[in-house]
Amino acid sequence: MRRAFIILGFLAAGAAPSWAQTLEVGGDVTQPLTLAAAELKTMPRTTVTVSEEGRQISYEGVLVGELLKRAGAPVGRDLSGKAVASYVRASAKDGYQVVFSLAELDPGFTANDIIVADTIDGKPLFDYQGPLRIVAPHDKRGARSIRMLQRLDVVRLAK
Amino acid sequence: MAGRSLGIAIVWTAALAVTAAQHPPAPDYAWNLPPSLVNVVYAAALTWGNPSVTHLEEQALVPMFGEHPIELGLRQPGTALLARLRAEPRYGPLFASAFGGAGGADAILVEHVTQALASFERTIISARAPYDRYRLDRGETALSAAARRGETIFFSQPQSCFRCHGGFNLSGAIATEGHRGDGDVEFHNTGLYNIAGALSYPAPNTGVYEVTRKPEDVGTYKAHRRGVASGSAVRQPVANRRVAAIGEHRWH
Repeated sequence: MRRAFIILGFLAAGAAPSWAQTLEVGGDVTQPLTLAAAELKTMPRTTVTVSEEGRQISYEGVLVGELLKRAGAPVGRDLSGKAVASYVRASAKDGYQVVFSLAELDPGFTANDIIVADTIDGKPLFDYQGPLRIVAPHDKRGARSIRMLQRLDVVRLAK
Repeated sequence: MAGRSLGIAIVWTAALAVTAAQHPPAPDYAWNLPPSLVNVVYAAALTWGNPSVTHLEEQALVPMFGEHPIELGLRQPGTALLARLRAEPRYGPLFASAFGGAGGADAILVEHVTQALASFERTIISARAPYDRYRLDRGETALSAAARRGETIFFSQPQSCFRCHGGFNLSGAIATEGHRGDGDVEFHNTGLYNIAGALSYPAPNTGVYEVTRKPEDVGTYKAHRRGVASGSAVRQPVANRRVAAIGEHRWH
């Protein structure tokens, strides 16, 4: 029985062997995007430094706010009134999900420097992290720095 | 280093290997193998289920004199142990080298035995293990492709191994000089316990509860460290392993 469980567990883990190498930006936006990881290299880049296990780690990538702007989410001057009651759900390919308020991700609103990272100390993310992850450098805990990022969905609570 | 050498000598002689035949462990404890000593210097807690044992010198007393369970079968204050050590001629100079004195029986004390053992244990470090080379040096060939796939599973949400086995030592909170733990040392309940209600899990293997007597501590254990680095076997309490057989694993 135990052996059967273990085998089933690995089969389940291996059920999606072709984990996506793209990032979907969708939900309540005007221009849904499907971004290849390589496309992020052509966008404005931001570097943040965080402390992990006693070491300073440098992540580089693109501000989430920049991606949301390209997808037509209400950011910048459009982030006012009812639009402030919006959030972004970030989903990983292993099923993990976290949320940010839209204002947290808009560099015109806050200075959180939350990025979609594709490099760690100048190299590609580790397999278990990537190819893309969110890094929220000012969060006190790492739970929202979601690894294996697959989707960003904008949800507007009021229109 | 003299303390380390003495600790090695004590470990690799029959001085501490005593009355197992006379005091076989109780069947209920047969599964409860000791945590690995590899990187134990960084461990913020040293046993499966006792948050208060945080120093190696203190922990060394447990297998020597412990009665729950009986391991080495020695009795306080260690008269028989010290007699054995003092009867072995080579120990006198080793104790003198480590702790001073002329090498007489006065230097051979239980306190010095535990200090020497701890000095040795603190040198058992998995530096530059394949996993270290992969993670810290980005040695892309240090791990096989299968091992890297395993790492991804280890750190994925459905399995959530990393939630207990976190940190560079894959054992949760660590302790270094001047720094004891990243917050509280965590003991985990893998979800098997108290299924039939509070305090329903049968004694004696009830985890931290054995120490605290708090109902919420029933079935909570420390996550101990990695075999991935050193190749050493890592065994979990059998009750945790039963989780796989039952197929239910609640995390919170």
